[in-house]
Amino acid sequence: MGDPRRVRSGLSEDWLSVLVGLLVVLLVALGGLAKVPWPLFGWFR
Amino acid sequence: MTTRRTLPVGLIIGLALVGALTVLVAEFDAAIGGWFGGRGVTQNPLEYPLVAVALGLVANAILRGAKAHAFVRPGIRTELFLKAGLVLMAAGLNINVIMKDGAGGLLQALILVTSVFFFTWWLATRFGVPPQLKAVMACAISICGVSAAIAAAGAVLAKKKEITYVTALVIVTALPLMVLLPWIAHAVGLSETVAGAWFGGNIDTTAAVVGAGTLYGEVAQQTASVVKMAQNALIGVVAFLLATYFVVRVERKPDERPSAGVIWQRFPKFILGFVLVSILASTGVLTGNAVIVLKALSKWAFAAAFLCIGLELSVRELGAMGWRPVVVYLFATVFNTVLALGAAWLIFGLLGM
Repeated sequence: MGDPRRVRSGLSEDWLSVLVGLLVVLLVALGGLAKVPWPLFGWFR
Repeated sequence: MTTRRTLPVGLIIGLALVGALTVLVAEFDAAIGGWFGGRGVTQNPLEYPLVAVALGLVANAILRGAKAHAFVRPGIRTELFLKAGLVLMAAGLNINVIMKDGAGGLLQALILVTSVFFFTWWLATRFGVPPQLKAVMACAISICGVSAAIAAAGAVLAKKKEITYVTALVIVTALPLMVLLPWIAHAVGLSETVAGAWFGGNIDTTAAVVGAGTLYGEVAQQTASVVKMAQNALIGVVAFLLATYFVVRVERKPDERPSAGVIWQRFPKFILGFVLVSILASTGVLTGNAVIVLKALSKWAFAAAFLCIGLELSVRELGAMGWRPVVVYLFATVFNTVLALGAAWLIFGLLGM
């Protein structure tokens, strides 16, 4: 999040978050992540 | 040369530390949820962000004491976790389901979100609350608490202390409301549908909404969940509008004309990912288990983000924000409570939607 002195210069972080998010969505949509039987998805319900 | 060699190591160890601590947050969350579960409350109303910030603060003190904070700092990526979490969260926002199951909920959501947002904005302006904090508060109260606060904070580039402050207010306020509202609803004899719509429209955290509904009855719980979901659906729209407003009006320099290029340069790009994933969910590309997994992963990302906030937060800065935002928040919550009761009675009681 924004440092009080920082102008909107965090473009790379912004785009990176979009890329990471969409990559995860793609992996889940293709079935890769959802099939892994980790307890990961049971937390934070 | 030395800096170049040490940075990636700090990044890897920092990320590993954040990952390990986030697992610890999940364990604490499960334990607290289990404690509430034994007392008839199905979800943890304390919510994981508070646990994450508290754990982050403890780790922050230990790391600074051990003079290791600067070393792991490259791995403390609050913004990345927060915005990636928002992109993933959009998988749970299926407009079709909300339209099909809750037209009444959507109507109530539109009335409440608009009225409560502008009331909070107006009140916060009168109290001299800074624009970013004002936006985060208005979103948190009018839409749905923590998720809306996170989305608004991303859209207006709020400071870490501002999002932590509002998150703490949201959770602390939701707890008494979870118990108080079912008690009042019983006292005035509200039907389960009207009571559920009231809980869903007013209480700011999803867990506390479900908790209040559970205390009142099965129909109340279902109605409360649908109404809450309808309000959640408006997060993307409000975040988009806020981001545009801040770029065009609030952050504009006096002599600057906001050209399309400037707007594009400053516009938070995560909103594009958010809208895209929401469209994928609404058009049926993402369904069933994929949606459940993506919602769980968004919570992991948010837990990591709040942990990172704790890792960088100064408690002194938080205290320096003063009492004014608390007063605004409490007045706006009372306004929301009264208006939500009127809207729920009208839409779900009188009109029978």
